[in-house]
Amino acid sequence: LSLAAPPKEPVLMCRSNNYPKGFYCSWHLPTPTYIPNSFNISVIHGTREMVCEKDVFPKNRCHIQYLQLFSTVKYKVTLTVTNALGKNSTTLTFDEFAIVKPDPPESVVAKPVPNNPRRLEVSWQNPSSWPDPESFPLKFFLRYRPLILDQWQHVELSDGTSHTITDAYAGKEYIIQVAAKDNDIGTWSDWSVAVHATPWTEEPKHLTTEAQITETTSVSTSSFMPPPTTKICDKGAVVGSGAVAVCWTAGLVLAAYGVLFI
Amino acid sequence: GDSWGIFTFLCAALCNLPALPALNCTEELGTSQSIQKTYDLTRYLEHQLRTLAGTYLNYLGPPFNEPDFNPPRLARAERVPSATVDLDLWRGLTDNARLAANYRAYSRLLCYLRALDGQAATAELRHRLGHFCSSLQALVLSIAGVMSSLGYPLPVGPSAPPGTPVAPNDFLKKMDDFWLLKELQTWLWRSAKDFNRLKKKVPPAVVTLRLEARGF
Repeated sequence: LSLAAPPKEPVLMCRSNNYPKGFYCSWHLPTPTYIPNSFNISVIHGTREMVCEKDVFPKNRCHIQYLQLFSTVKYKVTLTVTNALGKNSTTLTFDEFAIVKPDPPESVVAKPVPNNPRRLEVSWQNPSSWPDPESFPLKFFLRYRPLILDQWQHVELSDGTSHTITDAYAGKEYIIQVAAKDNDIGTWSDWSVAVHATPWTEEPKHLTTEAQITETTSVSTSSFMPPPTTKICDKGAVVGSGAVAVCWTAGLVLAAYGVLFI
Repeated sequence: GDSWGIFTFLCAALCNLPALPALNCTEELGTSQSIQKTYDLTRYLEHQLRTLAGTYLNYLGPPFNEPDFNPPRLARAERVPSATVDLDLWRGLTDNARLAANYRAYSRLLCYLRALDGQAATAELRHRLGHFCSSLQALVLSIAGVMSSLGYPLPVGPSAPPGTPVAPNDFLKKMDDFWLLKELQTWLWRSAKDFNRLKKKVPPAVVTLRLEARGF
């Protein structure tokens, strides 16, 4: 059995992801009241009261259009929540420029570059909610790391919607994300959906020519393995000097990979 | 009373400096680079202003230095042309009008800031204001350079605003200072957008043609 309660102070957030068109505000209650609540939002700009149009979906959200741009006067948004047991309210005051935060970039794609074992080509698109990238260009922030490491690498890009990573570790799967920001004002968007990609690797030709002998000593090129040279050689039901040479080569390759990560 | 008269006179003198002829420098640069330089200057100034405004508003004291301070705009004569503009109007501005609006605004702003510098009570304020005014002057000259290289006439030198009433009390004087800094901040935000737009509309090729024409 839950007791009905008067509303606690609501949580209000306002943001312009479609600058210079306008902004939206969204809100919620920190704890449920278990009875119906009604919300009233007021937006005051200088001496003028503006109408924030309630969105059908999601609920608890409204949007407003700017009548003028580059305003010196702050916007004051007050949200009041009322139910049968009481009311509560909260106010936000902000400059036009302070709440600009684009949506993350869309359609992020990362591809290997043929014959380039250390490159990855990344491309993306402006968020579709940003109405005028020509007059209000975005800049971008790219971050990437191999799955096996925790440290991100970062690149800030002041124009263009593509970038080639040139220092990828060969053969390692990467995770890549992009964020956007208006060139001059506001804050960075959230990170885009992450994409994965592995740089191009050459087919191991020397192993395929000795197909029968090396069947069981295949070396995976897309995931890092510690160098268990003995393990591979043990697996292979191989006899003869040729097999030993292959074993050796595999061991050296894996040892080299190991050195890279020390 | 007397000091305000002096300041008005100084303002008039400073603001009626002859327009810059200096075509030599800009011809060497090239218009698109001049626009880029002007854009970079607005960004630099915007950054500098954050520190300057923080110091100055603390000097003015509460409520001016409170983050949520949101006073109504009093119906006093506007000293500086406002950056605020209707979106479609802003989009439709010709390059000349866009540049002229920036030139006029910053010339006036420079003038008023110089007056503030003259009155500054602390050494720190004088230092910061002085440095800022130098950078702001560079911006005005940079805009003038872009206008000249594009063949636009400079707007007539801004005279000291004719009938600006002197603030009748200390609080209203502080209010004037508060709005001056706010207007300056807004202009710097707007100018970044103005010069972004100009960057795209003025290709380097334009400069070559104009230089050749001047050669004759």
